[in-house]
Amino acid sequence: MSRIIQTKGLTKTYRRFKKEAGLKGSVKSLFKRQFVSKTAVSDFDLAMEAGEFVGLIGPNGAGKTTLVKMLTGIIAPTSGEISVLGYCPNKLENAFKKQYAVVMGQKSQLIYDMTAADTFLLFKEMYEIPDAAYRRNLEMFIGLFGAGEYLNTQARTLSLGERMKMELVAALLHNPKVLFLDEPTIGLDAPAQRQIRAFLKEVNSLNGTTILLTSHYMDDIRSLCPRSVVLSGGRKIYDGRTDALFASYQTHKKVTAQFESETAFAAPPGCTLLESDSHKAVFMVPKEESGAVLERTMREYRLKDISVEEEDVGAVVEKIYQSRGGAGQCGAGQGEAGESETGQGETGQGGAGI
Amino acid sequence: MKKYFAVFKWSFKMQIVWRFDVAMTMLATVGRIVAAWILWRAVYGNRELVSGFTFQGMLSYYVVSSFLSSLDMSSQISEEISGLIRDGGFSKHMAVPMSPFAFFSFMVAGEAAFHLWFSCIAAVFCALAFSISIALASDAALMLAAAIMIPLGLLCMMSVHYLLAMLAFKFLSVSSFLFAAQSLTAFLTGALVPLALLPESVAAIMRLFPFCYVTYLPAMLLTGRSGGEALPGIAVLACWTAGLLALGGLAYGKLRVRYEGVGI
Repeated sequence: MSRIIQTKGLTKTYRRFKKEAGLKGSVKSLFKRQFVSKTAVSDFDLAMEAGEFVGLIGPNGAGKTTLVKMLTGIIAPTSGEISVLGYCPNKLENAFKKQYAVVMGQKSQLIYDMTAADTFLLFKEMYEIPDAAYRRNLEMFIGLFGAGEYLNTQARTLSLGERMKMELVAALLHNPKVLFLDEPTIGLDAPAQRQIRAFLKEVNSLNGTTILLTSHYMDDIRSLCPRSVVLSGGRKIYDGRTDALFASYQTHKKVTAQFESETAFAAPPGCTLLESDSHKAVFMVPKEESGAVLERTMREYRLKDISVEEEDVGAVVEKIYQSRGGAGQCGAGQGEAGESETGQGETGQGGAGI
Repeated sequence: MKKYFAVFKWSFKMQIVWRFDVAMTMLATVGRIVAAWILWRAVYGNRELVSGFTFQGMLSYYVVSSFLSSLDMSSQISEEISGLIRDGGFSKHMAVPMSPFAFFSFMVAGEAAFHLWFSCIAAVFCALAFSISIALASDAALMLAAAIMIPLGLLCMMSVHYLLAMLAFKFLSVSSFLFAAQSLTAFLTGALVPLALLPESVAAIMRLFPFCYVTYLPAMLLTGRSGGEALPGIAVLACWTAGLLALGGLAYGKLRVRYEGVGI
């Protein structure tokens, strides 16, 4: 296998404009501007081989999107080394751009007033895709999604799920060697998520496309990525097998029980009660005891409904962080710890979207 | 070249998506020609000449120059790019294998082609319905000079606006720059007043800048005037265009590293 992505000591620091609330704060900031620095990605090392499917996990503000933006050359790193397909991404060479694709769940490549087919035609010319390859790819990807009926529909009228399918087709038409996916299943319902997962699995195995996927959904990562990288506060805190990650850190399940009538619920031994009222209880149960606890709960209480969920990404990251000797709250708040006052300046790009 | 033409075609297609907009574009052109006819008719009254222009000459100048200024949609480049840089949407232009300048230039050219096409239809309609005739030059050399100057002038204005847009990487909000530039160019291009009506000293200074070669001089050439200014005009315009293109490329290379792609 050949090395496709390599980063060493990659760091990105943003500068943010800061001002006090209110008119007084606005007037003050007109004369004396304050900025804070925020390190979004810090000293990050990554190596990915051709054909790998790697999941990038982390809570909001962990630095996932910033990392994707650096790998695609959209933003320049503050320091460190970065190589993708042998190119320095931020040089923005066309030869490099023709070999990767990026899909951002919250930003569209499709032209809203035109049909998806019109966007595809534009992409065909922009990426200089030969006619035969274009027809073959379009047929294959549309076939995989069974999405032929959306081709000639104005993009603005597509549902979120339909739009995302078209985004993925648009991204793959030029046979990219590397695909960066930033939250491709965000906001989608379960069937659409499943369809997209199946599609990505197929693309990875059929074409050997190297894929880096960021997602909040554990199901995405677990079902697609043999390897996971966990980010917290801009730092890598785990890089290894996904099954080992979940076996070691996703140790509990969250149970939500709703009762038919007013009930005094007592958490079973070994479980942690998160929330409780007369008609509902939410508690964490150790994974290996979940079967027995569920059976006992169903036997002892008159239930209207019961649901079982996996621990979310934030909880898993928290556990990894704590197991590595980290202290305190990690996750969204962690980013704040990376902020520092840097004084005044002329201008700066504010509100870094990471 | 094919990929640039694809952007041009896409942009043209975008203009004809909404039928009401197409109808309004044509109506606006007809309305502008009729309004100019009424206005200049009142100005001329019983006079034969105003500043050396006959009524038909002035009307022809106005119609041609307003067509040319409506073709100049370069301000969209600065408005759109600066907006995209500000809200993070510019990222997609950094990820596709096409220079942003080429993409936006051909996009604007596609829109201009739409306006040219429909304005011509409207002009023919006016000529037939209201007997408003437009006197164009019969001299092939003048027409050729105008045919070179018009695309060169549009390219020059695109370069100006691209350069202004690049400032958004540093300042984020460039609306004050755009406002100043638009006010200045509206006057300097001769779209508001024929530059021949201005004092010679002012006109001489303006001839050193590219703006009067974008609308004013091509309109004069097309209406059979100012032939002597054609060659120096093309030379000045070519120098400015080459300089601005180089400066725009340099600004993009230097300033884009400040981009943060906010909101994605």
